[in-house]
Amino acid sequence: MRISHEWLTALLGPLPAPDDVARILTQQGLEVEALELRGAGLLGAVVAEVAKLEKVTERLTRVTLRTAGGEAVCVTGARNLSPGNRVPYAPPGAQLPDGRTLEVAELHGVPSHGMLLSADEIGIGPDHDGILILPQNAPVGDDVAHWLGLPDAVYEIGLTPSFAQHCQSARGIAQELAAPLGLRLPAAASESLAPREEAPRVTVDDPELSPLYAGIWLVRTAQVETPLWMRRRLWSCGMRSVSPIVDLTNYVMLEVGQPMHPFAQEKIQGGIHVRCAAAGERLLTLDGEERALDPSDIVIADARGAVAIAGVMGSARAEVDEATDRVFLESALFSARRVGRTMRRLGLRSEAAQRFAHGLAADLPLRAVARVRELAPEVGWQALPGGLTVGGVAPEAAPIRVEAAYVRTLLGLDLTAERQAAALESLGFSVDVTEDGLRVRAPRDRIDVRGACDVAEEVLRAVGIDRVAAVLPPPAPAVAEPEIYGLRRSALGAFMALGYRVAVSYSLVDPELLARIGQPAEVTIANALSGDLAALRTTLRLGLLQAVARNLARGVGEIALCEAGRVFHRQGGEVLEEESLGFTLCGPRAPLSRFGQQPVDFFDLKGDLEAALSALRVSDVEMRAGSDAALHTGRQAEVFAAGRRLGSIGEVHPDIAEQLGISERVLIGEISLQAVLASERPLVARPLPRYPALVRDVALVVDEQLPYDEVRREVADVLGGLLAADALFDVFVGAPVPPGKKSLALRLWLRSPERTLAEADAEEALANLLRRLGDRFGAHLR
Amino acid sequence: MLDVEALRGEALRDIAAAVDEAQLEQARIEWLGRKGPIADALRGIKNAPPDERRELGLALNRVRDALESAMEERRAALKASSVTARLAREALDVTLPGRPRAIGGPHPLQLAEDALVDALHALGFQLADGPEVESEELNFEALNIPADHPAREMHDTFFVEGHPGYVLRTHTSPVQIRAMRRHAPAPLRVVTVGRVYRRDDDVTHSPVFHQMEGLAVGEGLGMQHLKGTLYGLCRAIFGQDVRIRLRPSYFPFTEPSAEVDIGCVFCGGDGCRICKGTGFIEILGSGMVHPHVLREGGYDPARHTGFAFGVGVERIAMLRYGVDDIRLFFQSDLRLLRQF
Ligand SMILES: [Zn+2]
Repeated sequence: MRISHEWLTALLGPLPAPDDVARILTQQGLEVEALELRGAGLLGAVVAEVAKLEKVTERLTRVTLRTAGGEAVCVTGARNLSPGNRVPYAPPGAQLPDGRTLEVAELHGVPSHGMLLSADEIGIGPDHDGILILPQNAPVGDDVAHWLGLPDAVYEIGLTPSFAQHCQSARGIAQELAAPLGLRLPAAASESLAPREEAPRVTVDDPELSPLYAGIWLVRTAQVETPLWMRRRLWSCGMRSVSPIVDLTNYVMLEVGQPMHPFAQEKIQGGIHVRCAAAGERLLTLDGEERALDPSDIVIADARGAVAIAGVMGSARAEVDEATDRVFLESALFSARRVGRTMRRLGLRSEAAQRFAHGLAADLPLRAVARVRELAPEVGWQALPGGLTVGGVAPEAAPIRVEAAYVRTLLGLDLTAERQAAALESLGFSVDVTEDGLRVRAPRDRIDVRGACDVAEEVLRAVGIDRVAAVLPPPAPAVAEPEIYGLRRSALGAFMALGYRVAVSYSLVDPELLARIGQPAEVTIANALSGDLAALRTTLRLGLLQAVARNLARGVGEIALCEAGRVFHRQGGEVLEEESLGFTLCGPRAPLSRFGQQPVDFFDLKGDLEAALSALRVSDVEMRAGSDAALHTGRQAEVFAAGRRLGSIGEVHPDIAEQLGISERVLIGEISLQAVLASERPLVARPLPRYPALVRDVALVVDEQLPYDEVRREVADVLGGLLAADALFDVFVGAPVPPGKKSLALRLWLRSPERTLAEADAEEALANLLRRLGDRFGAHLR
Repeated sequence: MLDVEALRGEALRDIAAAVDEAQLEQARIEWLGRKGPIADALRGIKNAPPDERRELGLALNRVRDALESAMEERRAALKASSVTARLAREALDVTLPGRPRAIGGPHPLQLAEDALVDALHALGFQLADGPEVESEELNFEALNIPADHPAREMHDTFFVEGHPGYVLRTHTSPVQIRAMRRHAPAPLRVVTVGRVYRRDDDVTHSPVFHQMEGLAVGEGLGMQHLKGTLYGLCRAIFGQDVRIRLRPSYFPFTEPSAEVDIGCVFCGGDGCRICKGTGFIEILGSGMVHPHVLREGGYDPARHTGFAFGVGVERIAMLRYGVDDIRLFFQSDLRLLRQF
């Protein structure tokens, strides 16, 4: 909502400076988002009278002006001048708001001393075709800026939905400004409309559509222009001046908040019918578009069909035009819910529709017609006595009972009932203070005030929110926090310690890409913004691989990224949200240096995951060859902890990588944090060993195809409690190891918890081990 | 008569001439050994005239002591110079670059989120959680946003295909209802943080973003407690000197409601492009929990009151770290991430 300082002053009397008004409005909850100074910088323009007009060329006119000091001559292209007009004249030396300084110029050989100004050049309105004609009472020689009260501040106010109900009008904003300034907004007139004899029949199908449908008739009495003061207020609110009757309608809407619609009376055939649109009904609206209507839309129809979408937009068929000299002016209430829905569906956010959609006071249509009746003569029209009313004004709601103590608690302000009442009265409420509290009646426009908490908010606004002190609340008993939150932090922490950067990807992804990497979408969006945001992710892999591709495309190497977030699955009818952790490596691990640069491989990723799981206290981790089609057939593993599946790791299949725009080897892993949570070992320290360990190295020759894990499990099984630790420190294939065989070099740390092991104990244990490995795998010492 | 002084001089010259441990040992055996001249002389004292014996014995002992300490000194000196020599051999060009290590680091959103949650933890709030695919009932109706409410327009909503009645949550507020229903009628202080979704995509809006919300419910809670908590939070995030301004506003789930502005962190309140000349930046929405919401959560609005506040994590990260395009947070561009 835009409103000018000039208009607020006209309603309330003298006001503080615009900066202060803006601050006060903002503190009241009417956030002034911008403050525009219209006409600032206009210097030296004066009121002059047109004395004589002479054509210079087809397009240019030489204007002789009467000024305070005598005569002046200038040349203009405007065609709206007549002798006797008072006009704004900027003589040489005058300055315009756009920064120009005027000089004597020559146009087609005729010297022009300065220029005549349009509304646009003065900075008060959009019109730039014609010269702004001033009223005849503008004294010749007066400074134009002074006479027009320039600069005039225009406040642009961002309205919250609650304020939109009563502050989409000059009077609404003035009421809000009156309270903190201690000013009074004079009451507005209302009228009940005596029925007119010749009124056409009006039928409203259902009061739900329109609880009050009223209207008056107006006839044109004179051909005049809309007065400048009215046009300036329309302009300041961002509207255009169209014709006197339309301007009047718009002006009253801006002043009191009631949208009205003028119908050309001769174009209405028979009675008026307020009904729902029929299925398949269409209407050519004023903007020239044919609109398909929905049965939830309300339409105004005559004998020949719909003439307007109620509260939203009219049609050309019944619109007023230059020849119209008799109108029916509709002033009604329409269902806020229905108008809002229609407005959103058709994308027609007209000034009228937005006001209807927020809801209007029950008696506002009658106040609006009273104001139209008052102002009509100013625009050359006359309202006929009486009018029509279908339905009625809903009675005022019962007063709201409010306990003074409730307000004190809620606001944290020690205000007596009387003080609360006074605060409310300053906002136009009427209040009775009784023994058990306050009985509050809100002004009719305040349809947003329904309960005690709404009343408390009004008290707060009236006394000022700054009066509330800052106090820490008393503590509350502790409740258990979700464990997953801490795990997510420590899992990311573990990967960060390993050199990974944390990524954050959209959880909305392209379902086609999900399918391509073998994890098709399970939860899709019914009204997606675009195809690439049409499904919830089933895996973190996609986002990470896209991040890899983007980084590679930007020439960034040494990629190590991890991400924690939810993935979405369906189980039966339910959506399952799982906390997941993804990690990826691509390119060399470290930047180029004299120490050499190795591209990462499967064992980098595996080693990182092992380290991270160890940091997260997950033990008994086991990795088995996997068969995920999105991964390299021979370089992937499924990850288990104590038999529970955690996830998988592997090198991305080259075809998949290529489809995502990655031409390098890229490694990816993903584990379920919920599964990790279930596998976490409690943090309890084990006693330190009391006896020294014996260290033995063995080099075993086994079949090349034998997975190492089988050897290792056998070693652990044979040595049992004696095996304190083990390490595989060499894998060798080639001569002198026979073809088809490989040599595995292991270091074993043997220790007894009960005593210092003797050499003989170690020899015996190793002999047992070698015998078993020989039996199981045909292994022998190298 | 033995010339003690000559012997001493000759021995010291020998010791000084030793260039390594072996020569020094050679000199020790030669001069101080059992067969050396000093041992010889000591053995020969008994042949000297009786009145000279004592004098000669003392002189010989002095020489022996002097030679021993000269040898110690020489040994230490030899050792020092051999270490020095080794170190000299091993000298490096210390201006060569070190062995590069890839270091990891957090995401700016994670930093902002942690800062917010840590601040609220310190203020006695505890984490609560909820699903991102949420029922319309909890996302809207329970929060006093009935169908056709104008506030639903500000929440352009994604609907889930084939799952009627479910949406991608448009805010973290449904977690408030979940937490209240779990703990009512006990006093409650919870914080929730997570992803939310709106059908919006431009420089300042992202269809996926993060919110953090705090909620307190109990007996006797008022706006002063909201303000106290907001001060605690804003000081933790923006420093002890931060200025805070509350403005009446509107949210369907709170009444009274207030927008919270902080003094502009870019211009210190003088007015700049970022604060549109106002000296203040809007960062939070807050208010006293609406009685409808309390009832939905299982609390009795006649006994219990509460306050709630919510903040966009991206907004905090943008302000704290000077990132000006929200979409950068979702690009995983290492050129940005490596700055954190
Ligand atoms: Zn600033």
